[in-house]
Amino acid sequence: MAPHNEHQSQGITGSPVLPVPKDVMDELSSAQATDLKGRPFALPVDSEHKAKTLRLYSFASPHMLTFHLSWISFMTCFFSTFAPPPLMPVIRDNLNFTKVDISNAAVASVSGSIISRLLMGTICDLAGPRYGCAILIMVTAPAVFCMPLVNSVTGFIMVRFFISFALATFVSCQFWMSSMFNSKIVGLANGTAAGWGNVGGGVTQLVMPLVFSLIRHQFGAEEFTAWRLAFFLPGVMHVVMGLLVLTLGQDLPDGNYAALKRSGDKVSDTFDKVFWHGVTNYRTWIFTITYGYCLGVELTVDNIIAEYFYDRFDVNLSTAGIIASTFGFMNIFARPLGGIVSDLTARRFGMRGRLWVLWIIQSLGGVFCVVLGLTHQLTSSIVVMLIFSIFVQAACGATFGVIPFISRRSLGIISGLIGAGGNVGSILTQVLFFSSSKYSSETGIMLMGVMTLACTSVLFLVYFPQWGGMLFPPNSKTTEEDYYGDEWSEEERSAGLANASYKFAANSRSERGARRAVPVSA
Amino acid sequence: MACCHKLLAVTVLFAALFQATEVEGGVRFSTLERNLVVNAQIQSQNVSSGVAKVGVDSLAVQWNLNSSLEIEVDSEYASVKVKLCFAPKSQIDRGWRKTDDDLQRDNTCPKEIATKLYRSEGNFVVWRIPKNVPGGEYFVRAYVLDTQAVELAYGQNTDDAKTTNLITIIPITGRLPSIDIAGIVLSLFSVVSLCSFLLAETLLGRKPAMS
Repeated sequence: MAPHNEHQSQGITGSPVLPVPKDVMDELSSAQATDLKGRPFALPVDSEHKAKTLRLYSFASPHMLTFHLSWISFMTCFFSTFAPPPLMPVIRDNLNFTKVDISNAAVASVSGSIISRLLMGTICDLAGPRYGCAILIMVTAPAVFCMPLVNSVTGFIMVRFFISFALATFVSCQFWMSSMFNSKIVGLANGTAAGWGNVGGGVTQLVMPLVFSLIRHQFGAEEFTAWRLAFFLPGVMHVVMGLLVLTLGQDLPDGNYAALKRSGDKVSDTFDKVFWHGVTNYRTWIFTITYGYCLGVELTVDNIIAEYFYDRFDVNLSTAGIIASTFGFMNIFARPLGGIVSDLTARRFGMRGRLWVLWIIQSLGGVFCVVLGLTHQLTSSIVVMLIFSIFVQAACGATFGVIPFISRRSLGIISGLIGAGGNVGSILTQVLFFSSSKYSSETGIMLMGVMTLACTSVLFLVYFPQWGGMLFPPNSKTTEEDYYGDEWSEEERSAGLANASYKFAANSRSERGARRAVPVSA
Repeated sequence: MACCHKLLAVTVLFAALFQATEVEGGVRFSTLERNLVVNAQIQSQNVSSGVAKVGVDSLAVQWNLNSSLEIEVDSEYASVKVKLCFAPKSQIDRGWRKTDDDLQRDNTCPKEIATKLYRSEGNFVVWRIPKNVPGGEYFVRAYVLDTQAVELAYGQNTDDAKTTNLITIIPITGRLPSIDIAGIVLSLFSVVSLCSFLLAETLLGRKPAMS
């Protein structure tokens, strides 16, 4: 293979573009399947060098190593963001909170990441997900270390606000998965990485009370000191994961952004164009709303569920933590399941199937949320909560089965906007239903379910000209190349800048479903 | 037949589960007679402060049967449980401290001061306030229990509206200097190691490409 710096390469994926016919190029690419340094990939790859399978037990560089770094660092951020709720019965006595204070802190804990998720999308597009993830996780570590020092309501709210910036690692995680894994399994890869990351919200409900107990009984610390010491655990996790991502992580299958840019293998895009194409795509905004009612609901429940069981059913702190943690633990399989169902449906029904499946799953999540609010008995509450968690989390996974197809050029900023929308949904539900003494928590949960059902119905408005929408069939004159090529101007297209998008368009023809299978060469 | 047996077993199990988790109501506070007279004072190094510091100060509590009552009213009284209870001011906007007439669901009195055998007079206890008591306004209540630990009567050191003779308790913060230092050091480590890494990668990148 000729030295890479002789090739004219464009696009986010950094694969070389040769002046040869496309089918010859494909054959060459998959036959050689080596990265730019000439080493063969451990997994089978496509023409963009994205992996075609997901081997969960493997740590092979770059695809699987990236997968594991990505989900573990995201899990760490979820862990630290939702570390206060299971210890709230102790913290509320130490800092003398009222219900409004707790609710304000809960709102703050999902607000910071709105800003950071938007920024992270752009950072990923321009500087790469590795730097984005590592910088964020190490810069929020001081915020986590400030939690043991908090002495007042204001301090607590500020610290929860700054820790929540770390949830933007979600965007880098999804962006990274979409860069490393082929579109046929992108739903599964995104769903598994994000689901296992979200498990942090469950792990923390279990682990923080245990660590608190350990510090109290083994080290004999006072309660009001023990909860503070417990927060050093998430802080240290931040630092460790940040260092691992910096040393072991890689932006793309072919290398890091900076190295690829220097050798001419990656062309930088500009912020304003990437931003423009992201925000002017109406589908971005529809999914921003709907994601607020799957992830948003999940975040709200992470914040309130331990206290809900502790106060309503009179269980002790550790038991409430265990029950609450099962909600988060369902993410291990529920979110990937959503991604898998989305991918499997797409094989037969294409993008239309993905949209229908998402609407059905998320609406059922809303239904079971209503039922949870109406359940008065402990055991049945737990059962309903588990069923509710499966549907809500699968909906998150199914959402990210669709998002990689909304845009190729602005994938980062769109992931950021939609991720931010999840947080806005959480803020809305917390402020509307859980901040005042007007509603009891159970009424709040029921109303949250009703709002979920209402807001999920906007999915009917999504339409892809080349694939169709929920109610309307596709426009047979529009192709995938037209849709993705339209993000680039005439001059950009003739300069060859859109070639990565065209490559993606060819790979995305699977979204037509089995009935309209078309030969791969255009 | 086997499947019918299994179904029956499962149904009985569920019924038992639901039964087991049904909580029986406790004694209602409004049915209790206020037959004890309770007094509580702060014992403090700093006598004039009027407030009690956790871990340092103590509460001295005395209780006896109201002498104006009939002689036989205490025939079933077996033991006395003395508790520290939140005054209404410390319960506002804090649903987890709510007062409920059903004593099994009542959250007014979080801390137990002492449990003693019942005597009609001469009862006295000095209680060092533990460090896990939250700050706020409190009063002291003593419940009289029978041999089955069911509440029969009570007494408290404040009036029925719980506004007089309240005890103000000052809590600890829980912070220690060592925690502060550890937090600052680890934060600095995180930021400095990040910056060093980024700097090193930028500088190394400027050297001629290796492969």
